[in-house]
Amino acid sequence: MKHIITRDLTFAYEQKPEDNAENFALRGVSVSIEKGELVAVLGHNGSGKSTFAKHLNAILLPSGGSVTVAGIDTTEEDKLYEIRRRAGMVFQNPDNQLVASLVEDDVAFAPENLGVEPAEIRRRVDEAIELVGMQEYKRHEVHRLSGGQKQRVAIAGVIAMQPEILIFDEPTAMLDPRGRAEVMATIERLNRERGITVVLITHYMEEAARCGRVIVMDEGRVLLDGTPREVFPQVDRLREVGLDVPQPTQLMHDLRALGFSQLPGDVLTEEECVEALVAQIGGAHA
Amino acid sequence: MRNIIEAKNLSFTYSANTPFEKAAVKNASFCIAEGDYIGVIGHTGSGKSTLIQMLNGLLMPSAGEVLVGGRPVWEKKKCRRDVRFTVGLCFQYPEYQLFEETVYADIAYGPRNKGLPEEEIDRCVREAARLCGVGDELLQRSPFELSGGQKRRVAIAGVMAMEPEVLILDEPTAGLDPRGRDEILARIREYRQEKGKTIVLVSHSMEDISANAQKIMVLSRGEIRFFDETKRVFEHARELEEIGLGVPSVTRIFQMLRARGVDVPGNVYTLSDATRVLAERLKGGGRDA
Repeated sequence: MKHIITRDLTFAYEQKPEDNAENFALRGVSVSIEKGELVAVLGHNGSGKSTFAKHLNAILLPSGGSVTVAGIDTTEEDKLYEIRRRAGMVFQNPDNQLVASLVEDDVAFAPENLGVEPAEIRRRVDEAIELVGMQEYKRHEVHRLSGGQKQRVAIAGVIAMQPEILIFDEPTAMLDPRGRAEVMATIERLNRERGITVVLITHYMEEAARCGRVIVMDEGRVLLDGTPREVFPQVDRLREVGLDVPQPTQLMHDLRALGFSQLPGDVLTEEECVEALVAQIGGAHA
Repeated sequence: MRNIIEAKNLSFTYSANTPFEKAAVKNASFCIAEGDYIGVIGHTGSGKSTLIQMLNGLLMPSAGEVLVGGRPVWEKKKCRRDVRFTVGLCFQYPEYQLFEETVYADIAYGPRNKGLPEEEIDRCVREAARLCGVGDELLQRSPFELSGGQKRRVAIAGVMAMEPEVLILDEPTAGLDPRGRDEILARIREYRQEKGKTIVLVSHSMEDISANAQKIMVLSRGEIRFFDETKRVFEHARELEEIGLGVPSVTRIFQMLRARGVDVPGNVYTLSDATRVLAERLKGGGRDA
């Protein structure tokens, strides 16, 4: 089932974009995402990736083309709350997303506002907090948590609305490596165990390499779209648009460029890299 | 080289004598020589930010002392004022601290407080703007109209404009895309080369630190675990991972190769070194190695 469909989506922040083509942040994005996919969207600042993400739960509405989320056209005004409930969004800065002082109060905020029954709120809050691995901190004060913990509470707050789709706009950009790992593991778990469709906007190539699909955006268009193994070996192309590739991929690419073409070009992980090198150089036990 | 900063048995405790008491820095002693490029790494809560705030007199140590240019920071009030100009500190997300009406006025704030004459202020502002890639056309704009990356560069220029002997940057690349990150790091290297000043780069990114710093200070639970030349620190890859710090991906690859019996050095931490070493092995090696 197609969960997210954008057709020739264009968007301009200016009111009269026809004056200048450069005013378009999106210039014809056609993407379709299946239910249960885990998709990373990469691109440098200004590539349009955040603008794209904000179209997926109707924070922004298209200047041209269309966006359909869980079968609903995002321009249907009377369905706005329905779209926001079904497609939840998590932003970069956890401090801007938390509203209550206790963890469980914060997670209960959205279902309370949706008018959910108290007993059901309790059940949902407990479940959401457990899903992000924060059960020990249920009654802790939000402001005393680490960045990674805060971000997991923010995710739980969105989960409590029982969305089918989660959109993450650089959720790990402000976190340290440990916080990043915690949040990434949580995202993967929600996708794997709950079948939630995930769109992850990120700068971190290592995170994108763990997704099933990678979309690379540049100048408001889709530049590349495929599995990490199809996308990352295009090292020169990615560098041209200001992106990195995972270090193991880069290392193999650089060695191949020196003439060692016997090495594979589609390596993503450190383990694969080591296997390929041991096969060529030979380890002591080879 | 003369030591520009000396820290002697430095400790700092937050909320002392309360239930929230926390020793953030414990008994740290070290020296930073003039012209050094130091990388400071440690996970959240390791004491990095507390430590650097003691180096320019923003926090008073609970015990121990800091000497900047040989003078104790807390001995006289005058020293404390001077040290703010000698040791320039650029906080995390400095773009949130922009406040003036124009980019020019914002960058000029530090040199003006330093009491420099107007033409000297002008020189400092223009030079810092140039070094940070802030074009002339931006100088009369409001800082609030700029993009995130531009604001970050303006904020860093504001600290550079004081031409401090030591420039400390706390996570200057946080939240930037790879291009923005490379640009900022290149600007910092240029500043150091042109002015011959000392740099202290605080970062979570082992890749950034390893590609730039000559020496690395590793903090864990308020203590200095390692403070040595970059390549020596990476010899302790396992300890670094134990305290929750990532080592660069290529370092891990080399550790794994060694574990498989491939004869490669254990302290490789940059992509270019890794490529060079492996190219030699692939050429000479063959299967009989």
